[in-house]
Amino acid sequence: MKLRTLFLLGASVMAFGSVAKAESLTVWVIDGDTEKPYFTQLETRYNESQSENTVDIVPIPGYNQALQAATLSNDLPDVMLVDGPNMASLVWAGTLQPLDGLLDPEIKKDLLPGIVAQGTYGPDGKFYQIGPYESSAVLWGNKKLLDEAGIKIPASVDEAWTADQLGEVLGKLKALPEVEWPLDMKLNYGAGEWLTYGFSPFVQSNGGDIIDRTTWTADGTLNSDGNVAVMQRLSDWVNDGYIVPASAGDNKFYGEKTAALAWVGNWMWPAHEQGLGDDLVLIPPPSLGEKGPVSPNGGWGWSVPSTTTKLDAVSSFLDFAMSPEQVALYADITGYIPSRVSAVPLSKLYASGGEGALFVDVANCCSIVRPIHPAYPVISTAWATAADNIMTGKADVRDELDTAAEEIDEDIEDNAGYPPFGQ
Amino acid sequence: MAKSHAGMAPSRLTIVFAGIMALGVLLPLMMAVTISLNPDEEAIVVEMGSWRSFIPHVISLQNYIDVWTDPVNPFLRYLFNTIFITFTTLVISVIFNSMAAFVLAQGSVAGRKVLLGFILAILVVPLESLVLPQLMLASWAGMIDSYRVQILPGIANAMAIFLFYQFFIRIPKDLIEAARVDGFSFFQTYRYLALPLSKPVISAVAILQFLEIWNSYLWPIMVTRGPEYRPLSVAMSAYFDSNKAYWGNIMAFAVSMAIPVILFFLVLQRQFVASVTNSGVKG
Amino acid sequence: MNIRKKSQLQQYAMLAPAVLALGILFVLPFFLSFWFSFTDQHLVPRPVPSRFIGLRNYIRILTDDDFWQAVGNTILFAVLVVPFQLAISLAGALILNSKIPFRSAFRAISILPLLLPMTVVVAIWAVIYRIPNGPLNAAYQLFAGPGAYVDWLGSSTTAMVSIVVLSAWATFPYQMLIYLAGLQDISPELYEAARVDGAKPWQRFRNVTWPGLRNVNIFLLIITTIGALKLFTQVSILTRGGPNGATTTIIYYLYKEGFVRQKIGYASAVAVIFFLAVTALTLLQRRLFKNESEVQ
Repeated sequence: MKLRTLFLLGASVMAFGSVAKAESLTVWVIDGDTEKPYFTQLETRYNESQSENTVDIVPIPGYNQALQAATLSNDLPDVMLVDGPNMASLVWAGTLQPLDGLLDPEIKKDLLPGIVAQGTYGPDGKFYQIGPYESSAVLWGNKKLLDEAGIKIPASVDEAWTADQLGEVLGKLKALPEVEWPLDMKLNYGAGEWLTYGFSPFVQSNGGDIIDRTTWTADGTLNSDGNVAVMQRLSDWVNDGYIVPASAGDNKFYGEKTAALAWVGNWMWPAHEQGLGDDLVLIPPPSLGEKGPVSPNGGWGWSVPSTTTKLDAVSSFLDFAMSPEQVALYADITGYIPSRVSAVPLSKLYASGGEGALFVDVANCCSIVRPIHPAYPVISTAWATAADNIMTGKADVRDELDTAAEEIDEDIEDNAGYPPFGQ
Repeated sequence: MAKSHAGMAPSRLTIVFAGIMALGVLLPLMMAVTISLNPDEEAIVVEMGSWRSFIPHVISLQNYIDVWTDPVNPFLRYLFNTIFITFTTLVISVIFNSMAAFVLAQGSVAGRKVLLGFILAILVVPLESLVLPQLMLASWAGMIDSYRVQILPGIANAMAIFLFYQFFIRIPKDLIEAARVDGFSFFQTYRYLALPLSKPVISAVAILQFLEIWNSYLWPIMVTRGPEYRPLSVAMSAYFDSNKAYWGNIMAFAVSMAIPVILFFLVLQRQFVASVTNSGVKG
Repeated sequence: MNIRKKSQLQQYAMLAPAVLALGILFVLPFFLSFWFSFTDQHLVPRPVPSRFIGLRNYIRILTDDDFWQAVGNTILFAVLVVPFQLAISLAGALILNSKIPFRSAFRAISILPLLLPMTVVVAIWAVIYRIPNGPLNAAYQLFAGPGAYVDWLGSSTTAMVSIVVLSAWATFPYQMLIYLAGLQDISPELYEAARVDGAKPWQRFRNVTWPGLRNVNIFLLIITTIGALKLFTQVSILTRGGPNGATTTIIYYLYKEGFVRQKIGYASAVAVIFFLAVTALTLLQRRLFKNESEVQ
């Protein structure tokens, strides 16, 4: 009898122990100077907020390579940042587990629609990645130069410039003596994700896309006549001297002010604000066709590798990191848009009536999420390579788009259509 | 080999050329040192290209302190990794390769000729073409992101076997025979006669492999994921990946990384020159 | 056990570690390369099993413009860097072989680049080539006027040449030291005889030095060419194969396809083609020079 009581006592202590067991979590984040202060405070505040778990937030230089090596060695952290469009490829390979049971359901209800779309994997409808921030791109203008050229600045999304209007605007700006190349499209970022993020909205605005999102084939969509026309127009603008060339550096718009417009995302806010001050004006993305203005969206967000077992601790960390305060803080520190509706009013920049309100409008009305498909890395590389070549102004647009479409379809075929996609 | 300085008396032109060569080597290095000593990143960028980026005019160790104490990119850890990997590889390589070479040169087992020919054949294979299957093997063996995976590729080296072989084959048969008569076993002959004699080859092999490991880049970027096991060379390149191209820090890292090798060289200059030359004798 | 048998056992035991390691590290991967090249093997395991696909990888490689561009770039690099690097190495060796003052200091200085890890060299040259005001552009502005600059690494016309110059700078001391040893092996009597004949310095070089370096030249030509074909680190860090593929080399292409895109099967086929090409080239060079080197 005594023995049995002792045993029970022991068992209950052990059970109690496992409930209250302190876990220590390892979390991988990107190694960026802008984000660093945010992650530092996140680590401190989470560790202070409760006494059960401790989190160790590790910035990883060379993130994608590290992720690949860690996948091979089966050595992924407990929580990690994943770039939005790469989520599907990781889920397909079995690297991630769904977040649905781990997150407070209220959080998901409160997210901007683009963030929900970005994190949802088509085949099972589950949620695998949750972004603390939303991003968007608009045309940034130098009001002084635009006024000087006598250009009327569109006040809202409904008044967005059409392709012809934008062409005219660029022509007028080019004529100004101070302006060298009127529009900076950040070609200096190189043939990477920016060209997919920043340039696929142009063809989408004309009713096109970079891949058919029901049949998952690129041929006939990526290289459609409409896409060729849009990209041809951009290529012509390059040859007209309207676009800042890749090698000219980053600062023609906000530093030297020899460019009057810039097409880039909200991460440039601090630089633009500092460089232009009161001359800075936000203009809706151009409307290049039937679909009207389109803006890109999404970015890095939290994901949980399928190898993670400390789920209670992970759950508590995610709820903390996605709290309205933390989400608003992320936005204020980095210049991105808070991903939670309830955090938007907490942010100085993006609250209604704030300077960045247009970004929130655009994110709500006009954003199209990048294709959620395991082949995304290939889709993005193929498209970006084509766009990069086209933006030299010297490439045959149709050839480039045909090549990209072929490369994508070949990859999808090689992987048997990435089942259950395409079935 | 008799030292035969066949050199001619230098013309003035030769001295001028010597000066140009020295400047061509030294100017980039002085630039690296100068930038690394300047804590003011804006000044670095503005002055770049003027004489002020070649001659130290501000001397501050701030960049060095930043680099050595950066918790995300722990320099000392990378340094330890590199030294540990290098040292372990060299020790194992010298033992394994000299043992095998001694058997090939002085042994009696069948198939030595074939094996030697085979090892010579490996010398011509471009090893870079094997990295992908090596990566698959490492991944199957669960060795990705470890010291082992970086040490293994260097422990057997066809070049090292060849250099040892060339040396051992020239040991007079009488000497080997004498050792045998004295009751030395084959292994003891290697251990107490041949190996001590081969000091110049050991240093040649060590120096050549040392250079190879300090320069290796393709393999470590594929098999390491973070500071735990990463060597300096990969850590250096990570500065280019991130957007923070702080030249002062990059140069401080570069100089910190170069100094141990240069010190090592100053101590072993004679052996170094000899070993590079040795690797070329088979022309 | 008799002594002979014991000795044989010892010999096998002494061979074993190196031979086993060579087998696992080089021979096995070599055969795996061939095997993978006929499959669609992936780096990270995926839900679709890898299968045998015959010659598909080879057909795709040979019809891929990017592959041919990489081949072209690699050949271009070798054609540019080999003569350039050998010329500066020989010049350096000739200087160090003459009786200049502070000879050993000059030798020590000129060896320095070889000691710097390639990633360090790359960092230093990234500054030199920087736009708009790196040292090289500062020099350029002396001729082209203020504000002018060349995007050395960012323009497809200059990128490869820029890589050539920094690569030659980084590794020329190796060839220089071997040339120096070659020069010191040339008998002083030959120079003496030439001097007695009243040969001018250029004639002495032409008739004594150059023929005396024949074997060294052949050796250096072969190893420098092979080294050039493996170009990777510099382009991987500085240009990422760009702009517009202008500095994508075979090894960089192999790395991108096999590691970044994880297509092990496809990249293995590239490796097999590369291996066959390099072996063929080496055999060809040996054959070309064989008769000559036997003459001595």
